[in-house]
Formats: sequence, structure tokens, C-alpha cells
Amino acid sequence: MIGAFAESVLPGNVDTTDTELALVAAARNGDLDAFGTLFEQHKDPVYRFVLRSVSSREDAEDIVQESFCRAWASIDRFRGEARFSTWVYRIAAGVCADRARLAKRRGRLVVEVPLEAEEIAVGMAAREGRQTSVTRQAIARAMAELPLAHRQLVVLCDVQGFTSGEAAEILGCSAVSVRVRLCRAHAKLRQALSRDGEVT
Amino acid sequence: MRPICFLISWRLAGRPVTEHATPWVARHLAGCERCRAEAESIARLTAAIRQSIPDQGKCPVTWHEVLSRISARRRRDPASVRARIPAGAAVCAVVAIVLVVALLGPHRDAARPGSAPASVHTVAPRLEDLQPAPKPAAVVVGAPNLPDSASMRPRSAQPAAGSSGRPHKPGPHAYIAAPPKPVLAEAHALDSAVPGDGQGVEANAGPVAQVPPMISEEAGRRAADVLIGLSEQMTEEKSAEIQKRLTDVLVSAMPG
Repeated sequence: MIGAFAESVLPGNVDTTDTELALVAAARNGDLDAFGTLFEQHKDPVYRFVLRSVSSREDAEDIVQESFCRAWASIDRFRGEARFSTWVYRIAAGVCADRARLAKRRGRLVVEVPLEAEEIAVGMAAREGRQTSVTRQAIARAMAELPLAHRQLVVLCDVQGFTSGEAAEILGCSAVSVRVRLCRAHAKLRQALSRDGEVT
Repeated sequence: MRPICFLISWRLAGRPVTEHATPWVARHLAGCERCRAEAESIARLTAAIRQSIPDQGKCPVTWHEVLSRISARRRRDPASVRARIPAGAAVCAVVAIVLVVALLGPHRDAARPGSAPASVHTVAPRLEDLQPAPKPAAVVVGAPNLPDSASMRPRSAQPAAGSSGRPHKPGPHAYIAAPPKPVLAEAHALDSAVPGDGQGVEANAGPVAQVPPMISEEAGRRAADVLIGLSEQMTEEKSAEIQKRLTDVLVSAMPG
């Protein structure tokens, strides 16, 4: 079910090891090099999460920078109760929400649909034996129509493999709320894709 | 459709990861056509989402860029100060300072013995003006409007307001139109004037001069000491303590 790409970003593969705890402790004592190592370890999954939330590379890069800046500024408040990755994800989700609010206030479209015409084939094992294909554009459009919180949930749970509990911790809500929202997000996605003529 | 079907789609949406949940979900899926179709639909959807996302997900942001931003922010906004003073504590401190200034400010002059009332404008005399004046002049009491430019000039021959023949009714709204540059003797006369001495300066005893200060300078100084002492180690926990101590100091200084 989960492909090589998804496995590479699964947070479960990045356990809070002694090394990471040592790096966090050093960073809390003001060691910027240690924080730099943490940044290198976590920047890719955080970037993917942010990129799928805002769908603009420039915004995503800026949000990643801002997230790690905020993480450094408040590293002394990280008590180690959650994983470092979860904590940084939470900061990044907050920055995304801030940007979305700002963009909404300025009347700017938050999500830009990436225009990639390339089609990929998915859902090879349809019950009727019929091959279904979904374009990237259709998915991107459907994702763009979701509210930010739903979009972030889909990315966290369906793409990056976080459990509902972890997603709840990142987004600051309950696990029940995560499941309810995810159900609604799936329903909306299927509705949007079927409206676009894509069969899922 | 049984109630458990709702639980299944809910479970699938939440990605059942706990070991004990999987067997009953699998058992139900094996026996329920509808839920099996739902599960396959969700699986196809999530696979489509996962694969639709570009694989080139390497973050182009370098550590150097983040470091530059951290440094720039540090220069612009020193972390040592900002990290220690949370917004709530800072607001609390500002409110306290404003409170102290507002309570002390208007009464500072009145509280000082022998000082001129705030309603009297005295201008520092020039050297050539330091001549003995024949008599205090240009002190107009009860005038409805400001004196014209002629009356503002020192006029030794001009009769005093009290003897000008105009009805003299000192009341709460009486005010003093002092000359712009009173000579030394005038200033001295104003300073040493006793209210009600018949020299036309009884309006000096205006409402401002008679109101006692709400808190003394000593109390203000103590409040300031509290502020300064705590600002060094102001944290979120200290915020409440600051508020309480300031309130105690200010309340204890209130008369009555």
C-alpha cells in the first residue's frame, strides 16, 4: 500500500534516538551547529508537508525557513514530551495557518494549482479490472478546494503516514476530530474528482 | 447497512494502526460488501493523492539561509530581551508605568511645598529684567477673556486689577492672566503670595492646589523600584506577581 516514496517520509522511521535527544539538548544550550543538524534531518519531510499545504514552492520554502527560525527561538520550550519532528510539524502548521489568514485578509488566493500536465496511472486494481487514471492536476485542484486544516490532515495521514493521534498532536486537536475531519476531507475529494470526471 | 459500517469507514479514515483494531476490521470487511468497496475506494484515493504529489521533494532551503534569518532576527530583535519578557508581562509593565505616571504626574508640583501653582505661568527672567519693580502688576482676576496685548505689557502706571473699579468676584472659575515675563519681584510675589491676602492672587488657591496628592512621591519611587527590580527577571510566572505587588503598593499609598 505505502510506496517507497511514502516510506521514506514516514515519521516512524525517524525515531527519537539518543542522538536526536543529545542534539536537542545541545541546541537548547545554544549550540547552533546541533540545531543545524536537526534542521538537515527534518527539513525534507517538513518541506513536503508545507508544499502540499500551500502548493507554492516559494511560499513553502519561506514557511520552512520561518518554521525553523521559530523552532530555534523557542527551543528552550521544547520539553521532549513529543518527538522533535512532531514539534516542528506543529510549528510549520501554525505558520501555514498564519500565512493563510494573512493571504485571506489581503484577498489573495492561498493555493496555486501546480500546472503539471503529466498524467500518472493509479488505482490499477479496480474491481472491474478497469484501469482508472487520475491526473495530477485533478488531484491538485481537488486538494486546493479543501480547507487548509483538511488539506493538512490528508497530507499528514494519507501521504506522510502519521497516525491520527500524531496528526492530532500536530494540529492541536483531538484524535476523534482528526478522524471526523479526515472522513469529510475524503468525501469532498471524491466528490471533486467525480465532478471532474475522474473515477476513484 | 449496520451501525458498525459507520465505524469501519471512520476507522479506515483514521488509518487503524493499533494491533487490536485490525482483526475486527478485517473480519467485518470480509463479510460486508459495502464496507469492502468503501475501503478500496479510500485506498485508491489515498494512493492517487500520494502518487500525484511530485517525488522531487528535496527541500532547497539551506542551513545557511536559515542561519541568516536567525541572525537577522537577532540583530533586529534581541532574543535575550524578547525571550525573557513575554508579551503579557510587557503589557502589564507598561500599564503599571502609565498608572504610576498618571497618578503622580499632575500633583507633583502641588505636592512640593513652596512651589508655584501649575496654573501660573512663570517665565525665566532675562538679566536686564532683573530690576526691582515698583509693584506687582498685570495680575488680572476674574477677567472673562484673556487680556489684550497692551495689558500684557508691564505697565507700572496701570492700576492693579483690584483697584480698577471693575466688580471683583473671585469664584471657582477665576483665573490668573499672568504677564508673559514677570520680573523677579513679581515672581517672588506670586511664589510667596498667601491665598486671600487681598493682593489679587487669591485665585492661586485654585482647585488644583487644594487637592492633596493621591499618592506620595515616595510611594511612586517604591513602585518604580519594584518595576526595575523585577524587569531583570521578568517571566510569565512573574507577571502575576508583578501585578499583585504593584497593586499592593499603589493601593496602600491611596489616602483612606
